Amino acid sequence: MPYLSFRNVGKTFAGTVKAVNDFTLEIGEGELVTLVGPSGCGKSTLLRLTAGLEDLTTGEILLAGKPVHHLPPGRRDMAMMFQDYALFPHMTVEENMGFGLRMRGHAKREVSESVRETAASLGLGDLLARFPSELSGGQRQRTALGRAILRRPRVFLMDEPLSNLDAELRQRMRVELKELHGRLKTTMLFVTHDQSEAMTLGDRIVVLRDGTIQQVDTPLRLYNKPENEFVAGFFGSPGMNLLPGHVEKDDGGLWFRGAGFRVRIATGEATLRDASGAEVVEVTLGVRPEGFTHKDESVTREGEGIEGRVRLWEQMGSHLLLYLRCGSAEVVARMESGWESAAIPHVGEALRLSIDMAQAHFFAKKTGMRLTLTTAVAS
Amino acid sequence: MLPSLGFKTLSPDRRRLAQRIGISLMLSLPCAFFAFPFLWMLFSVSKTNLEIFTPLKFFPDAYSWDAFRALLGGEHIPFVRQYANSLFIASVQSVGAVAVSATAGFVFGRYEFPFRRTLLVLAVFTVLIPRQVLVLPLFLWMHRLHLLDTPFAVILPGVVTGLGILYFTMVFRRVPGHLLDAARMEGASEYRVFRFALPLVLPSLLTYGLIHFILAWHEHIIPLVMLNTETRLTVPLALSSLYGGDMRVPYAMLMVGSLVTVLPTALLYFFLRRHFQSSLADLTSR
Repeated sequence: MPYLSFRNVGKTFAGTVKAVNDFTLEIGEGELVTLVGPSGCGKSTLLRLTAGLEDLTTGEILLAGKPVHHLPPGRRDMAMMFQDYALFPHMTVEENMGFGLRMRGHAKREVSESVRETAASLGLGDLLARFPSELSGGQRQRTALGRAILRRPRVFLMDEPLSNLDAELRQRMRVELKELHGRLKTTMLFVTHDQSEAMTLGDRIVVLRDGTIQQVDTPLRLYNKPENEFVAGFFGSPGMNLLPGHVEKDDGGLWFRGAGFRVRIATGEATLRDASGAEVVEVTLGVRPEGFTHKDESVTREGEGIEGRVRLWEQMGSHLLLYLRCGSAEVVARMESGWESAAIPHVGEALRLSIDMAQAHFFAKKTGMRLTLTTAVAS
Repeated sequence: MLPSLGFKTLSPDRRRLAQRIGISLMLSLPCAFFAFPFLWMLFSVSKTNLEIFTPLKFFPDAYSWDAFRALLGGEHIPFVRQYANSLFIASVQSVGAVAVSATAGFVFGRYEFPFRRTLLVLAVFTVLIPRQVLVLPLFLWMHRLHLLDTPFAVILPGVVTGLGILYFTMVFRRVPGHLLDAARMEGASEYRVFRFALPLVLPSLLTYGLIHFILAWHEHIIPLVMLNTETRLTVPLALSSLYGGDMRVPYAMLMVGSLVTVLPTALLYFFLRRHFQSSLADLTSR
């Protein structure tokens, strides 16, 4: 049963600017959903709408089956963590953490006990008398977290809470947040623009663009089966190679012809079709960097790969990133092994890479939507 | 061999000292310019009328407390009572002005509502209307409210100020919105959010209160129109009543009055100067 539901939620600013458009989503109790998208995609607006800090233009938000979109923020029983923590500068850590309980009229002693207990669990026990300006970035983050979890809200809303931390601390806090969620099992809506954060934290990911949902799925399915070109390009580091071209039938099979290369998609009678079943010819081929393999040139036959000149390579330790120019297109390939330093190609050297067609994706050039390969059954 | 004297050959420490002495000398000139009337006033409390009107006579022939005794003893006017009136009026008006302006400024600065801009412009527009134009309608209002010749006839017109509303609108606009949002998320009502925001703008509250106190303390025209009875007058009115061109009134007493009048504002500034400076720095640094 859905716990937090969004039904056709829309938000328009100043009468014309559509920040969120017909957003419909159902989140289960205890689920951790990440909202991800580039800046300006409406993810923070959506979080503020959920929190009650902005009014909806259309639609409704339900919590445990009851509409909450008309309630003020304090009565929705949600807690929010802000990007820069929003710690009250004139209050100590203890006062900051206990603020919510005090606002709800809890007894001073009860508040103090709860604060001490939570602070101890977050490693803030010795810092209760300090002001936010006397804390490090990580301590501030924990204080904000403490304030959010102290009153056991029904939903956690997190607005890029890790973005102000350095890489190492961010990694650590990510693990801590995940553990905390496992412990508390509170429904969590986590906004981020960082795809790796979205992938590692979320049970499900909602990809937003221009206020519209692009895809809602598990991290792995999003990565392996992106619904459209935008999602395909957004996930992965480096992102998916998107090569424009068209399909043609030749030599008893279906071929993709790009700028200066040709690869076989399938043998026999096959077509690429969109969701409505229409055949599409103008397409974009998507290959993740790890979708390329390098074989000896004599082994790589025509139609199995692409040829390009090495522009640059980056030694990443566990793997090697090769940047190639293939005709007018730029391609990034990830090579896992077999690249002893002597074997690393020189800049400018020609290289032939084969594409694992099982890992290739096709999108309609016009709409950007995912296409499926259908092979005709021999009659 | 290099010359042993000369500014360029001084050690850095000595050069800094020389610079400081130079700057101090330069600043002491305007200081003396502003301090002179005050010091003249201070030394005139012991002068006779004749000494006061003798040109270039800075120090009195003899020092005495007679003028203090005459003024505070109520020989010519009930000065202590009038001083208390002024303190009451200026204090209540300042607190009232801060309360009203901060509340209105919070609403104008933090909420969107129809005609917000128009209303703000109207509020600010009142600053452009000279006091003299408003005196008569205010007098008529106070007459209708039966408040004439009471402290409230002076206090009420000063409580709502367009400048205060504009000032606090700017002040509250600078409060980071996410802090107020965080308070809302934690269950604070809009009134609690406002109260929560007050400590965040404390220097501005104190600064505006201090400025308003000084203005109210020196206000002349409104008390002149609204107050009649001698025991209800404020200090500026009381002192001006002594300037009658009557040479029988010792001018030294006026000097005492003026000295004592400066005291509250000077003391307030002394105690609040840190907040005052931080608020000004805050306004100029953004």
